[in-house]
Amino acid sequence: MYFKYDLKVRFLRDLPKLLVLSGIVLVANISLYRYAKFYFLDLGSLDYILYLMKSIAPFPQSGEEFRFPVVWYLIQLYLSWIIGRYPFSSLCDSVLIYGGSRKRWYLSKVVWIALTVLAYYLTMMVTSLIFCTVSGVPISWEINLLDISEEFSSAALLLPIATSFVTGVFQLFLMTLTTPIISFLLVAALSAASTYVTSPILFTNCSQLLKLSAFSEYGIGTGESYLTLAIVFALSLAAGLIVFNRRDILRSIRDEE
Amino acid sequence: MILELQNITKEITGVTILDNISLTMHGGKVYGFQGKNGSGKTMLMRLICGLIKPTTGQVIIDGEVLGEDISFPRSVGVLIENPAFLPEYTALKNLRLLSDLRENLSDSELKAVLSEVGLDPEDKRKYRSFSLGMKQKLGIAAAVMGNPELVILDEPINAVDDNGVENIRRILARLKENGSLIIVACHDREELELISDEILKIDAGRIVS
Repeated sequence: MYFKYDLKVRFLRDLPKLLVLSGIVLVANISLYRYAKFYFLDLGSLDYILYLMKSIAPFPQSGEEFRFPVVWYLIQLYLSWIIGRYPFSSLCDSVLIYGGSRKRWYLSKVVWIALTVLAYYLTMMVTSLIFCTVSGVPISWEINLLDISEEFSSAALLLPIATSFVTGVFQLFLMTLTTPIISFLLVAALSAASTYVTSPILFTNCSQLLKLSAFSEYGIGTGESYLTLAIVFALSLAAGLIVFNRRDILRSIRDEE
Repeated sequence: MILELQNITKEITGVTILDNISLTMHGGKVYGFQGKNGSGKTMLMRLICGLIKPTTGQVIIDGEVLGEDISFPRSVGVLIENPAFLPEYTALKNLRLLSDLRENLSDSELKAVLSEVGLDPEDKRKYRSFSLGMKQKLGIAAAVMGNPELVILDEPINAVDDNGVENIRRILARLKENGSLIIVACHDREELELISDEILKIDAGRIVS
């Protein structure tokens, strides 16, 4: 029953906010389009989608200069902001009590995060596909933008979505310990650190395609990434449930819009 | 319904908020909590709702330990601080949203409770345009909809006009007759005496009379 509330109160009301994401994606698409024209690159629609998640190659192993991946970071940051705004801002006494269970309340938020992440990535894909259609970029599922390594598997392409979901669950756990703003800042710091340091411990690396072995010699393996995400998810979920079950709700916070 | 508080103590960051409270309350009665700001009334109500956990002691509701057997009382209506209403929804739509969380009351039942507190069920105005008194009435409607067995109201007559206060008295009398256990905290001693079967004075986290 909490989920029906989450769906009505937040998910459906958040959909217009995805227009901002479409704006970010369009700017990134235009930037890649101009780059491809300038260097005579034959790119297809999948390249435009992957460009949003490619970030930068492992630093300093790749030997390339460190350039902060603004597109990837902005996209991740906006998702964290959307996720950080809801769960605890809606923690009103009556909603929590009438639903009857702290555990169900918490699990409902995890489902809400999953749905939000899916809608988020779907928006990115649809926006890119519309851009490609309008600008005459061929709709193709070939990868030309990134170098595919021998370790490539299509499962690597789903890692950004899986990582965003796990990051959201981790952020939810942080919210049980701190405040929505502090948890947002911690996730923002984690994401920023992971652009510089390539390690599965900084698990947001797993959402940066160029930091995966599927696309980079020095990248993290796909299996290793999924294992890391599974561990972080399990620990975040278990710890979040335990902490929230013991947490005192000392004051109600209204759902402000 | 029988609600038992057994040796309840609550400490927050080393400060004792509730101090060894033991109490048994029964359905079909109105209990009035009286005390100054910071005396521990609201904290005790939040504890009975399951929103905060006692440092020591237990809350037992009809034999079930709160926080162990159940997260929250099974049949409860609460008005503590600001209820969760959406600013762009009407009163009826807001009640429907909350009602869907537990028992899916029919539209006619929701409209009846809105009328009972003195709100027009057909009013198309959004919650954001409500006066303080209307917001308070909607909070009370949310707390009493579905005739819960346990009703907890913190300062229910705040910002409510005389007619509204009269409506609240009638509602409490009806719920009491139905066997609900009602806990009310109120600054107004006279009002509390009028509606309560038993008044419990709380001071510095203790029940003093």
